[in-house]
Amino acid sequence: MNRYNTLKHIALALTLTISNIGFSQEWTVPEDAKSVVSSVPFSEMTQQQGKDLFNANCKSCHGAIGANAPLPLNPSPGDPASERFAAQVDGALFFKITNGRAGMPSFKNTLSDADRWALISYIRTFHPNYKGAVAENPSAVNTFKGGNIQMKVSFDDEKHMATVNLSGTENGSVVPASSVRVGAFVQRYFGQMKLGEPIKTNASGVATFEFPTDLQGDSIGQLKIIFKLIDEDKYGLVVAEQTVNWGEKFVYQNPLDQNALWGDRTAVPTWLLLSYFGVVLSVFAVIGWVVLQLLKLKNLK
Amino acid sequence: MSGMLNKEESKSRFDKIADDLIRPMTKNDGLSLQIWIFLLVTVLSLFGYAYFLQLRDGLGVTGLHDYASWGMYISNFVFFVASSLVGMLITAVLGLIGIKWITPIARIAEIVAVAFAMMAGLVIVFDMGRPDRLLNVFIYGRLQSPIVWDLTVVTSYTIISLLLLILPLIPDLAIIKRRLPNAPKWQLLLWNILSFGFVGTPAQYKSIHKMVRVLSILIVPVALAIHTVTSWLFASTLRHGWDSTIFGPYFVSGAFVAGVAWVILAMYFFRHQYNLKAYLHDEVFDKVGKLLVLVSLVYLYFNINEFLVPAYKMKAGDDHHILTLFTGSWAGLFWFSQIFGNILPIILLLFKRMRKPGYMFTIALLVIMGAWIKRYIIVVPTQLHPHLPIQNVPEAFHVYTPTGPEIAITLGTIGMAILIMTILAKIFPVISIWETAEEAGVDHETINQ
Ligand code: HEC
Repeated sequence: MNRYNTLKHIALALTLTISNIGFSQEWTVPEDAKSVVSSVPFSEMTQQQGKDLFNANCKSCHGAIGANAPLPLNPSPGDPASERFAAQVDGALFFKITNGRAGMPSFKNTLSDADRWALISYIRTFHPNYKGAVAENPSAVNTFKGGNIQMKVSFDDEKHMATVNLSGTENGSVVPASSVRVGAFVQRYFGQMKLGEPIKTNASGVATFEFPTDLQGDSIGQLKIIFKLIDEDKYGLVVAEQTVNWGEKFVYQNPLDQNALWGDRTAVPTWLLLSYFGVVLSVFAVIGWVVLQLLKLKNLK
Repeated sequence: MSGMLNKEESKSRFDKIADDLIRPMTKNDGLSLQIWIFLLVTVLSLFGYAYFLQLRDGLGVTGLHDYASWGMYISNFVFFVASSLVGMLITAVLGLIGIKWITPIARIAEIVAVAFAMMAGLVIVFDMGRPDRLLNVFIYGRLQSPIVWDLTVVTSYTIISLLLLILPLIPDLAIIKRRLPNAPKWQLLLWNILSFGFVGTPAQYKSIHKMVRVLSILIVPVALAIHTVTSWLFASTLRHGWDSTIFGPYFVSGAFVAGVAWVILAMYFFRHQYNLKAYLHDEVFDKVGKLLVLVSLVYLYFNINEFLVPAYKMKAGDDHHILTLFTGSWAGLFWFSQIFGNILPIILLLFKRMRKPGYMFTIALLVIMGAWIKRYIIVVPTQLHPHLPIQNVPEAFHVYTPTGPEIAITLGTIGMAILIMTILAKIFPVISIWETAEEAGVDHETINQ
């Protein structure tokens, strides 16, 4: 028992040391990730959002901002108001929050892009020397500046692919609308089901979608696919719908048709029928035998 | 033992036993019986009026509604089925393993069983409102439904219990026929038919023993089935308080408690009214008292499982149900049934001094009250805690309050069960004459002279 415990302690100490060696190093962020900036300018609204998100998701480890009271972990989470955070560019913070490392969880799947930017927007309010990255680097947000976007969709039924073509009016002339996010959805009973992540149009205003081959269609395999601009607040509602016929045919099986416990009286499972009549017949056979014996009693001399 | 008795002794012993046991059938009970019958008739006429109202105006005269569609009637049904199970416990289980002290109470247990099994079926018909609706079970019933199984087992159990009552009666009726040649015509005819030509040949004895044995074995699974299926009426749903895997054994164990208590009441009654102190003596009471402790302990064990485990987990929905039972609006009834219907009887009956007829009568009465209430709080509260909130319905649908007619009909069914027992105990000897004589060492020849 004792020896076992000692061994356990050694093992634990080793693991901790190794992990310390591993992670006390610099947390390097790829260069291209560093250059990413928020597409939405930081505002009072994003800051407020970020504050709520911080209190709900981060405070447990990083402590109240400015209090310099992070959890005593190794490596330390650090106080987001500190110089350690202030010295990093937005893209670096975004990368770290998105991917995490060791004790820092990845928020890629739990928080949306916008939420993570909102968090940074909030953290930045504690960095007095910080200058807004959106304003400083406008070329980074080279989304389509014009309006009146028109959407054209063409389908390749063989390959289950669709090409979305966007054009819009900018400075009085019709040009391809590039860097605009398009989302694909399929119509379902109670709403629209998202098909993968939105895709940005390229320089010629084209976004290509590839669909899974096993999408459930209606009884004749028809599906209604919908394309929509994600940034509706910026470009207004731009939608294109198309019905395709390469969905999987839906074959409705009425559960009441099978012989099952939930079936009606004509759909009794065989095993139940056999057990019921088996039991009832044997019980009444014995009863019948007794009655017969009773009637024969007077002849027994 | 029988070898040691000479003819003379054998004869006088048998005469004494036969006289003692037959006397209650011929004796004019006078005032006490008249009062008893008057009481029962009063209850039954109240029942008659209430049932007339229910037939005329429909189930609206009861407190049942969309949410609590099972109320007092179904609680009472479960209670009756439970009470009838004692026949199987005593004749079959104890009889098959050769326990001797059950001889004086076996027939009493069988009478209790027959009376309650018959009434259980009838209660269902009252609960249906219109009696012709019973036909729907046959026209539309699904084999998949526990209700169809329930009807099947209740019928089978009633038939087998009746046979187990009649078979050991055959030699007795042959005796009575000979000893009371001046009885009324109809009685002689009844005895004649029901003694099936028995004259006491060894082959006839053998045949009766064999039939009783076969039926005693058969009744064990049938009795387990009747109450297990009754429990499945509840347990095969997902509702709070019913969604339980141990409802079958929980019901069966509870049934034995109620049944033994009924047997004690009947024993006490016959002991005094029929002057059978020498047969239903203190020692039998002592033994039955111990039996009640045993079955109550098993029941207590199931209760602990049934309530403690969900109460520990407090699953959403169950929590509300359990709290209303433990500390809420149902707490009074719940704790009454647990304490007076189960825990206290166990503790009291552990003392030999308490296993005396008088005390046991009181204890049995408490147990029966507890047992009835227990069925009520199994059936009703669950329905008032549905998965979806009770809303947009009349205020009265939030609770269930039995009405006068409903109570009268329920009391009437209990009265009918007791009436059946009274009649059976009047036209048949409540203790088996030939088996008592056999145990006293009297030979078959003397018995069948
Ligand atoms: C489970 C505890 C925990 C939670 C919750 C947590 N963090 Fe961290 N965070 C850490 C740790 C530990 C580190 C240090 C990781 C390292 O250096 O390897 C860290 C590091 C970081 C860093 C990088 C700091 C640096 O010096 O490079 C940022 C930015 C960060 N966290 C932001 C957040 C945000 C925003 C949230 C909330 C959405 C959050 N964290 C939630 C534990 C946590």
